[in-house]
Amino acid sequence: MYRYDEFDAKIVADRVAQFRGQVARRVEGDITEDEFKPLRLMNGVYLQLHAYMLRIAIPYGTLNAAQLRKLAFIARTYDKNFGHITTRQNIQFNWPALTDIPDILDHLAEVEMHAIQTSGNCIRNVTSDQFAGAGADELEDPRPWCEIIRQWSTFHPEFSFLPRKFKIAVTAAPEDRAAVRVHDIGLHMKKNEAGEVGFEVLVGGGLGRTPYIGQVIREFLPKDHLLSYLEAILRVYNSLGRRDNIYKARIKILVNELGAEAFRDMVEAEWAVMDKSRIDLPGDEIERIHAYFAAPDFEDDLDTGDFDSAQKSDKGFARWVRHNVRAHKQPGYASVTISLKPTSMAPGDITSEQMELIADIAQTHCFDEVRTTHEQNLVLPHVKKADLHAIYKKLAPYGLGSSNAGLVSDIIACPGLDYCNLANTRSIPLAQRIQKRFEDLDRQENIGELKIKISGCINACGHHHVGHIGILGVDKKGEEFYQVTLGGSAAEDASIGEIVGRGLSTDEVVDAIENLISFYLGERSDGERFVDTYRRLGPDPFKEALYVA
Amino acid sequence: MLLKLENETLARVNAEAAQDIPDFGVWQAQEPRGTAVRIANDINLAAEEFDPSGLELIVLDFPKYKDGRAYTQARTLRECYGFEGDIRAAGDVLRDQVLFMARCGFTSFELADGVLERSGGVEGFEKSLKDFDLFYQPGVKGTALWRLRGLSGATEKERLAAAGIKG
Ligand code: HEM
Ligand code: SF4
Repeated sequence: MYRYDEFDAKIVADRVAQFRGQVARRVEGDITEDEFKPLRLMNGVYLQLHAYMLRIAIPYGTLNAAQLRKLAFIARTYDKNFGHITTRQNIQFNWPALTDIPDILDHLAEVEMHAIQTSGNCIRNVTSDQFAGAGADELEDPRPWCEIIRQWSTFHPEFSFLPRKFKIAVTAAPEDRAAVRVHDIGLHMKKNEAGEVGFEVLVGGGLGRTPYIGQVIREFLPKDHLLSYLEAILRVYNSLGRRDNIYKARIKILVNELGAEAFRDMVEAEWAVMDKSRIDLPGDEIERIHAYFAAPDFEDDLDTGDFDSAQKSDKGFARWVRHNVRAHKQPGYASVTISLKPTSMAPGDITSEQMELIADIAQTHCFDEVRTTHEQNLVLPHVKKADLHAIYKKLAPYGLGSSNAGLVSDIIACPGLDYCNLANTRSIPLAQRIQKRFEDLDRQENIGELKIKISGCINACGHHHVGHIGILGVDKKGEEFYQVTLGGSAAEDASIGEIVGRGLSTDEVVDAIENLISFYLGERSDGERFVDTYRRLGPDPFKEALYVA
Repeated sequence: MLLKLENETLARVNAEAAQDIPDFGVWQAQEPRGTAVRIANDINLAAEEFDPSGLELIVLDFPKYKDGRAYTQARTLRECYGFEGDIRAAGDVLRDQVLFMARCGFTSFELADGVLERSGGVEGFEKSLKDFDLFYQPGVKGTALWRLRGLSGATEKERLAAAGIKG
């Protein structure tokens, strides 16, 4: 993974010093709260319902053991012993005191971490495929390009006061695990006819109250020109993006008001006159960054040890292997999804003890690497198959052995009314009730892949628009109601779910989800996932099924 | 209240206030055109027929410090039009944005009443101008770090080794 040189370290240290000064001036009253707000947001400090929240960047979801241990220390020292993995691969702490935050940032800087641009109307932490560098299906590791974007976008002088926040995701596999189609800019690495690898550039995707799937504005961008092209897109957006209405300020609205072609023409015109050589990185710097992401020293001709026999003797392990273990590009290795969705916790929450355990496992078994996922889980990207049973036995006693990756209980939920001042409804308790209802593992396995995503209001932090089943919290005369959407997807077959039926009360909603699933089980043909059956049959029969008593 | 940036230092100067400088439409109609113009931030310079030769001062506006359109205008003036005169930031100009402004090509800063007093004076502004001396990306002011990396002497192997990575 990328390691700071003396320059990166100095920039982060300077940032902490700057923020320390800003907090002191705020405490003195020299800066108004209105003026302070974007300063703290650009440093990940959000004001929630009960307290400040600190969102720490995990660039493209890659962590090492020392970093994870430091996060465990911060959770224990400054928070209530847990952190929360977000849908943008970051980690949040919900209870730090504002005046402690500069110290927390100092601790983070020691392990090459920061909270820069995790909030605010700037270019946010860039996200990627959690199996980058491990997946058998990828063209190349997309993370060097993520790091190049991270550096370019950090304190960009021109793009720090954009009309609205700006999110970029990069993936290099045909199966899109980074949801690039619902980002402000999605970069999908592809080969052109000449066999060269470059970027397909999508613009204007996003969720929130007006969801859009991104549109392709360039089929193939040569890799070397990535930064100048991004700069051209951002420049058009910064000039023309709407600032009169916060709900119309995202680039998706601009792209759709202008039309994707007109938008593309403006970007291309800007790009054509730009001095690209000033902005694009030279080959040796691109190589320098790539070198940090060289594949680890994989061993050849590995023995798989007790991998097969243990699956026969340990049914729990066998189930975990079926759902949470994934093929690796290197024979003898596998990638593991560590589920943060046991029935008892808020989706994505992780305790200090769990972080420390995973740090130990990563160090012993996984080349010192851990990943966070946008589905709020963790991944051990490269472990030997021979070690899997031992790893499973270490994880399970810590509540980390849930065999539910991709299943009905692997729910994305936003913080909702338990933390968020914009919420209409609670999200976490609903996720837990659904998990409880489908607790039976055989039943979950029988249902198969099903992505449930819950947002407590129309801001869509829980991605409900792109859930196979999406659940949106609405307020009806002060009472909590839930609106169900069906047929969404954030993957390569991206689509926005359709609203079905009227809002459901807190008492009705779990039964309604069960009705939908029972209907699907009755109707599915071989190998069909829930979303496939929905797409084949359309919304009407599902709408009827929703209310079956 | 106007601060001017010269040789990395800020100095108080006296000059005509932004509100007294002709706006874009007035200036375009002038015969002959004056040496100073005030350009609103919704004028897209990339789309305008615009000739800055003869201009000594261009005032760009921050109606709210959060409205960042003038950053793009300033860079466009420096990098596309090659404008070398003074670019002044006016409106909601605050200490915490002054480095971003300087990096986009602004060379003077017109402050609203009371701002200097609660910003630690000229020194406070200068301190914020020096919050960073390394930059990841090129700006009108400030070299991109990747250029420094190329110059700093260490070989790739040495650099990786220092970071504890096998090259
Ligand atoms: C106090 C808590 C929070 C507040 C007040 C909040 C507020 C918002 C708002 C206002 C939006 C809509 C922005 C827009 O599209 O214009 C939004 C979107 C979003 N938020 Fe949050 N949020 C909170 C917590 C979170 C958390 C914890 C996560 C991650 C788990 C998160 C992830 C997202 C994502 C992914 C979107 C969708 C962005 C898109 O349109 O593509 N938010 N949030
Ligand atoms: S979706 Fe709404 S309720 Fe949920 S975290 Fe976002 S703003 Fe809050």
